[in-house]
Amino acid sequence: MNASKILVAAAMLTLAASGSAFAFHDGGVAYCDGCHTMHNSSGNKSMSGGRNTALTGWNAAGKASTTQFQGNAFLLQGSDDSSTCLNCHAANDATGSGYHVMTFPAPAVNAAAPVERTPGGDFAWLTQTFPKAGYAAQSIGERHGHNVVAQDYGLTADATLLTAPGGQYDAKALSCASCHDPHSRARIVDANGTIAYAKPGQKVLPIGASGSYGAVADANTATGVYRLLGGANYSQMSYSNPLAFNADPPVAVAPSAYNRTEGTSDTRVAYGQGMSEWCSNCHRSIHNDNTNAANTALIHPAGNGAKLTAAANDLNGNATGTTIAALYNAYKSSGDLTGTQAASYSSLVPYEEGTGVIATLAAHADTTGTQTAGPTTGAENVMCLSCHRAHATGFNSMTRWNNNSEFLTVAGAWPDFAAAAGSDSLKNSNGMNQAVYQAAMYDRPASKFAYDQRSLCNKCHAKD
Amino acid sequence: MFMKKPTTRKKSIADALPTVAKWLLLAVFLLAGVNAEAKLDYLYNLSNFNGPIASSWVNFGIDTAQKELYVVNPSDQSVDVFDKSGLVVHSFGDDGEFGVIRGLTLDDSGTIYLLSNIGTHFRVFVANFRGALQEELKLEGLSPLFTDDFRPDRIFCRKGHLYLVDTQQFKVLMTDLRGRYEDGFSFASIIGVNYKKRSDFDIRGFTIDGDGTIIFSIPVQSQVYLLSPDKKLKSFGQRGSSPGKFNVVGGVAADDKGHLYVADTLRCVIMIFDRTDDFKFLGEYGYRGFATGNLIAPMEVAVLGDLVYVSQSANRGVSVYRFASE
Repeated sequence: MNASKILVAAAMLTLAASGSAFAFHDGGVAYCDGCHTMHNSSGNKSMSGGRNTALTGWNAAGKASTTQFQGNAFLLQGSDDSSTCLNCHAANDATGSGYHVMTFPAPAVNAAAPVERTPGGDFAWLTQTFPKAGYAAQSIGERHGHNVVAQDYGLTADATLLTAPGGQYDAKALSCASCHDPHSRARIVDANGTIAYAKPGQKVLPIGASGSYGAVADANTATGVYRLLGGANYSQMSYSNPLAFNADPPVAVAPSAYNRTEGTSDTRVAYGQGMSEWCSNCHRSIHNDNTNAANTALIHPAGNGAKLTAAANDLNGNATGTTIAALYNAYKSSGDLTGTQAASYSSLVPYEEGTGVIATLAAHADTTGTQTAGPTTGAENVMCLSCHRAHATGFNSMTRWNNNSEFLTVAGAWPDFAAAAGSDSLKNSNGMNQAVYQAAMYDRPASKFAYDQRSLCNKCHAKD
Repeated sequence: MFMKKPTTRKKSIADALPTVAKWLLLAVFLLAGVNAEAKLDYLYNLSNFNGPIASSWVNFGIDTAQKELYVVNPSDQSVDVFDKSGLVVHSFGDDGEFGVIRGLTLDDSGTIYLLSNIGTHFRVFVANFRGALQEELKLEGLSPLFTDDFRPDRIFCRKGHLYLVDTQQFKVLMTDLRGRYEDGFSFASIIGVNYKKRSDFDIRGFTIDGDGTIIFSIPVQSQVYLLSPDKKLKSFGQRGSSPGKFNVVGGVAADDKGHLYVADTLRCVIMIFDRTDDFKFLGEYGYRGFATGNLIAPMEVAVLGDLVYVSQSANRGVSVYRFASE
């Protein structure tokens, strides 16, 4: 059989119109040998090849093999599960592209910035320890995100936070599969974001497509859940959760081209519901689902019940005279509260819409700059991702902006570690050169903010 | 016009035989167990005087005249030059003079062309054989296809032409050695990719052979494509994890003997195919592991004479193999 295909351009144009996708996951479990080797043998040679004994982490001694017919733990082909994922999801890109979540190799600190711009962030920020600047604490790489262990890609366990803050998850076990279920039993079975699971004694629809981009389940097929996130009772084979997952995956819709610069327009992921509840699977004690009208819980609310209709100071003498939503809509930048609801949305401070209706969310997922409306229904709520990115950022505590110093911009420009000694620009730089700082803000120009912009906490609280 | 010279297929005795005779000949070969395999023998890792140099997923440039390999490390923007024995003989670029170097290529005179990203813009610098900056190349007369969002990430020099390739936009720009526009095109539609969905189709390996055929791999399709200068398209590849199949296909390279070298990042092998014989699989080498000659997540591949260079992850550096026929 002739193995090659000789094709001419005209014939292929017909195929182009079909727009066929060749996704690997398609919302559920992919083909098995995409990650595993069944017998640790191919062509009568060992496939797993063992692990790097000079490194530590998930693949502890005894779990890997160089012997044919004795494979790595869980029959994986990579050194560990995150390394297996990053074989596809890391890239040596010039600019962010596709499904890449890590710039690899990571750039030297301040020589260049990680280039991937997914809403979750680029794991290469974990390798970027910036020099101390000003009075603020040093911005250390391992504080920039979730420290997944990926030996082949130079990512090591968090050496400071040994368990998940607010939980018990062991930092040494943290991997992509801690959050994303590569086999994804969870699925969305209707147009309203209802989630069901394949389990013994129960029949559910098979997964037919990704559930991250607005596809809707029909009578025959379900869609996957957002980003293959693990659902209730999700547990890896490689690690037994000390706290069993008790929350369903969130419902959300991302625009299809989500890894892009936000220099000219935002990448708006339409978050629906359940994100904070899902984060609490590991960070349980941090989670406070409801607004705290009595001001007694003393923890920032985030979750389905933390509505943006909560009372707020109207800055006109009335402590509870307005709502968080109204402030969000009015806030444009430090000192400028002339914004309107129609144009107030910022992907630097996203919120959940309080709905699981896929079509509603899909209508708002956008990269064109046309979906700029802020909260209006009264159902919207604050969530963990209102302030944090899920993977990593350039800033401590994986926040979307720098909370490590007072000002985000200085004299109309991004701060700069290369600025003159003792200058405000240097003191507020987080140790980053100006170009790197701008990259960490997803390439936005400083001109989009105030001349001396303060923390974006003020998007909701307007204290500046 | 883009280069019109068609690729040629070597004539063999088999071409002159009638079909029945070809089948008989094939049967004889199969029964006799004849299988013209190719082989890669591991030689060493690229080194300095202190031993092997640690690096991950570096990019390559080739100086065929001097038989030197240029290694671009995107991590620190350095360029190391290696002689045929795999020892570094010169370095430049790490002072930041060229910005973030993405790749480089050399013309027949040894002049170096460096592709650099500075912010969201790109620049092409010209340097002498020592890597000393001579000038920035000004691209002139570009068609509208290359004036807006064109962000090349690969650069090649072949037979007096510069090729700048934007693998994310599926665009190839061809200029002369002074940067003057000669030709350019988008190849998304040629390979059947909906342009709006092109980000789903990650191009990993990319090279241009001596005849101007562009060769690239797309992992999600488990395919390697060859697009000749007259826009004739060939492709091959089967998804799978057994020998000769593509699991997560990576870098590609071509030699002047008709062989294609294809890295599989997940299976950690370098596969060899015969492009003159319907991409017949000739063998694969490396295999995942930390032992001598093994590979970890191989990515870029380059060929210089009978030497095959492979970049990999985990700071495993660049492994060098020698090609041999069996």
